[in-house]
Amino acid sequence: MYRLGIDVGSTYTKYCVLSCRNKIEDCFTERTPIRQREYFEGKKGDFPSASCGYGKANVPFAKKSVNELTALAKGSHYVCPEVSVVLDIGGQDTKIICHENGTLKNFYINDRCAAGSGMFLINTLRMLEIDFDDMDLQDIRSEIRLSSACAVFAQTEIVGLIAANVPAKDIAGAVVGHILQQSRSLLRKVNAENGILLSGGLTQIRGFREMADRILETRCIIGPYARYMSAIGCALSLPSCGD
Amino acid sequence: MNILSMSGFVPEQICDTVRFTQYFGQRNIASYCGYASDFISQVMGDQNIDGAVYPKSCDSSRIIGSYLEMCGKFLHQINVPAGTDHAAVMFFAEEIRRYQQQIEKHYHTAINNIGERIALLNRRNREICEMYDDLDTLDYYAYIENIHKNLQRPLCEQTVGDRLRQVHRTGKRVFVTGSFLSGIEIARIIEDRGLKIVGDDLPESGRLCSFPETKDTGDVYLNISANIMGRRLSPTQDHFNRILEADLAEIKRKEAKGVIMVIQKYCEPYEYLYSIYKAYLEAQDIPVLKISLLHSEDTQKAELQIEAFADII
Amino acid sequence: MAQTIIRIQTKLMKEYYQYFSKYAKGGRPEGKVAWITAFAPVEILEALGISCYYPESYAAVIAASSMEQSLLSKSEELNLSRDCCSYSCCIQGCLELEEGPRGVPPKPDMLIATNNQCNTLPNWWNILAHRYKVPLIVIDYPGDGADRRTAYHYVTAQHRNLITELERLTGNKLHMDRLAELVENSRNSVKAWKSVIRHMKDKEVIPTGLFDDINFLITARCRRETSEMYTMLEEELSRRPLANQELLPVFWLGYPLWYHADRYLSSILEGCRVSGSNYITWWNIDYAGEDLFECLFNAYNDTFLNLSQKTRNERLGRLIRESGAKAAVTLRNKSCKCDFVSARNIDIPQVEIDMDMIDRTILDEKAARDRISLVRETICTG
Repeated sequence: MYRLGIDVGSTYTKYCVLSCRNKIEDCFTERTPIRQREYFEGKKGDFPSASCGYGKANVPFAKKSVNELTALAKGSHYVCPEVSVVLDIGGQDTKIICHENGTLKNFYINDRCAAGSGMFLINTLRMLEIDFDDMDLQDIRSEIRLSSACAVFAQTEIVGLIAANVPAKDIAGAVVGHILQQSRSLLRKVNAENGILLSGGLTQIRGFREMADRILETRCIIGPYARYMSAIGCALSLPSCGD
Repeated sequence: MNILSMSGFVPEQICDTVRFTQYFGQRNIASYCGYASDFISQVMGDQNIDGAVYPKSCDSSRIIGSYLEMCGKFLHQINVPAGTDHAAVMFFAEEIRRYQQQIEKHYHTAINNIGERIALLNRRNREICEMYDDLDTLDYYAYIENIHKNLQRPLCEQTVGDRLRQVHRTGKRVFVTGSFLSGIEIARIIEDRGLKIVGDDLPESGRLCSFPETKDTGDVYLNISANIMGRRLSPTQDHFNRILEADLAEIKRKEAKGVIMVIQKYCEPYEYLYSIYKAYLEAQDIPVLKISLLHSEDTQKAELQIEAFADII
Repeated sequence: MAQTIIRIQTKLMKEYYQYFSKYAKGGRPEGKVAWITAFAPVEILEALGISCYYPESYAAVIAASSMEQSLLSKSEELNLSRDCCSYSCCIQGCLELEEGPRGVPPKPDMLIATNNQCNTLPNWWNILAHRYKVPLIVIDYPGDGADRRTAYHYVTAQHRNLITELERLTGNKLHMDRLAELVENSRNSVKAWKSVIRHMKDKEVIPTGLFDDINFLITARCRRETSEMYTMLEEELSRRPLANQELLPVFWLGYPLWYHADRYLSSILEGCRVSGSNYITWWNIDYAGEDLFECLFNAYNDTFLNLSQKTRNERLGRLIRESGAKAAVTLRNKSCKCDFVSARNIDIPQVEIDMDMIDRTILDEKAARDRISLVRETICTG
């Protein structure tokens, strides 16, 4: 019997199908629809499901509703058991969690402006007409830094950079760097001597881990299934075959 | 007379005011305590309000007058002493007398029913305290909503002793601390996530119950002052160690497993208190969650954090 | 003359810093040590032989030494929000790491805080009290909004209690003639400083020196040498040439930027000169009164940030008129919302700039430059 974990994020919904023996059978993503409830009501749940994320209440067939951070703790331990600190840069906010063998122990959420979240990057890419999948941080040469913590002011800075004919990919790189800079204050609250496991959509960007290493000044790891860890954790929270 | 008041330091014994709870309109002041800025917005925008009274007790409240000076309404600021010794009580008594005089002068009225008001308040506060002692069995959201609704009514119309829904106790007992709980939705979120609020030191609840009754013989202003100054402390009153000790004693007595501190962003007294509160309680194995709200309506990140906290404790 | 000014300043600073950990070699002042806020009634403490230290002032020194960022980060790690006053965040980091350009001040035997500047300082002193487990005395100054007579009795009762408590803690007795002497010294220091700063309007005086020199009025107000030094400084400034009238006079409304080499945005105020500042008038406190307690009440109850908006409007309006400024640079200080509202009712064009007096990362220099250019153009073409 399979189990399905569903992480309904602000931008993307992530799914994980877990087998009876806790083996990942499949992980996939789709854009989170605007009318979430209608969309999920049209789906039929073939296996037991659990949901987490901002839109979790809109999955009517989910047997269980799991807190996103609790799910992230479980899933990240499954993916990378040697690291117990996870930095998740989501669409709406940035979070850092500490867990012990998959049990959530502590967490901090960035309560500063949206300039510290994935949404800031999405909006910037739209302005620059760059596709997310084409982003590559490895060939950026310039060291532009945005100075404003506030998304509104940072946006003004970006407009200025565009007007100054700064290459679009360098601006995009500066935004990613800025998001990572904003997460440094969270890092100071935890002991990350064993490294940090990175989570969230930005982990898909080429060169992201190296930039994170540099800006966070800590060993950063991107495990397999980096954007699916909460969905994996959700699935794990359901009883398995032997239970 | 429809005066909007902010804080438990404004003496209800003197006259009726509309206690500020929450605001739902346009917000225009940035980088400033959300509660104070919402208070300012309501005074300026609400045509039914003809006056405002507020304390001088923190950086945000101390400059409210600067934002309201041109609103054309009755404005009065009450100095709240930092200390609670005899000199402070005497001074605050004079401040209360001055408050009464200013109201009488502005509204061309005479206030001569303070004795009756004290009797009504004592009865109302006793009723709140009875419910507070029963928090284990009460729906906390209904309890605090009841208090907030009553605070907006004239004292003679306040009926706090209504029956409230009883809920089944859970094992995850929590203590809530912070300033006035303007966004009571937070209380609903806390208890919907399987936590049970068993105590608090909020000004309208736990702190009020720590010293509910005003003496009704002798100098009435000294008695009112002694009543307000005698309650458990707010961090604006600057004795953090006494706050820590009193809270820990109640947390242990009520076997609370965790503490949720609900504060406004840019609220300096609570930010400073939190910086030692967290370490102090966690040294006793009591985890603390701080929820920082942008304004009196905000519950955005609260749900995720409260839910995760419920999983931790 | 310049040598003598420097000699006095060096002497005062050497005496002040001699027991900081970098220089003390384990030594401590002879008597008791108090950490006090910048508007505490220092004369009472000095009269009882107490050595006074000013953490706010040291935070400015830390920023001037470019050491603030790591200390601010450390403070945040200890759960003190970075939204709080940067003076406190900087010093908390300094105490935790025991790092600073001159080390750390000698441990306090007592802490004295006042709320005549803001309510944040007593909050900060509370966490210092928790750290050092020493007595904390908070003095409450009602300001000009309360009934004058009531406020006087209340403040005087607190001053008397302060004396009683400090006598108990030090084992010393306060002598009123010594207190009178110190109050007179403070009065003279203020008077001399007022003479110094009046030259800002007309002479070639850059604000940098004044922002630094006011430190002695804050930390050595009741020393006789302070008024002597300011008198010499006034004589020197009086011999300076007149300011270039081609430059646009602007009023610096807010704190100095302690991290900046010039303490203000010198590089982007091209074509301008700073002809006035409210910060340098804050310690022009008025020791008026028939007896010492009345003098102390008037001085410490009526500090600028303790005044009502109405009174501030009047004072600031007068200062700006006297300065001849045509525009104001108004600083929205992340650390001090109490000061920012002072500028609500001034009549000249303002450039509002978001900054912090300690944390250099808050300022967007390009945006500040653009706004100043815009206001300058408006005034010059208007």
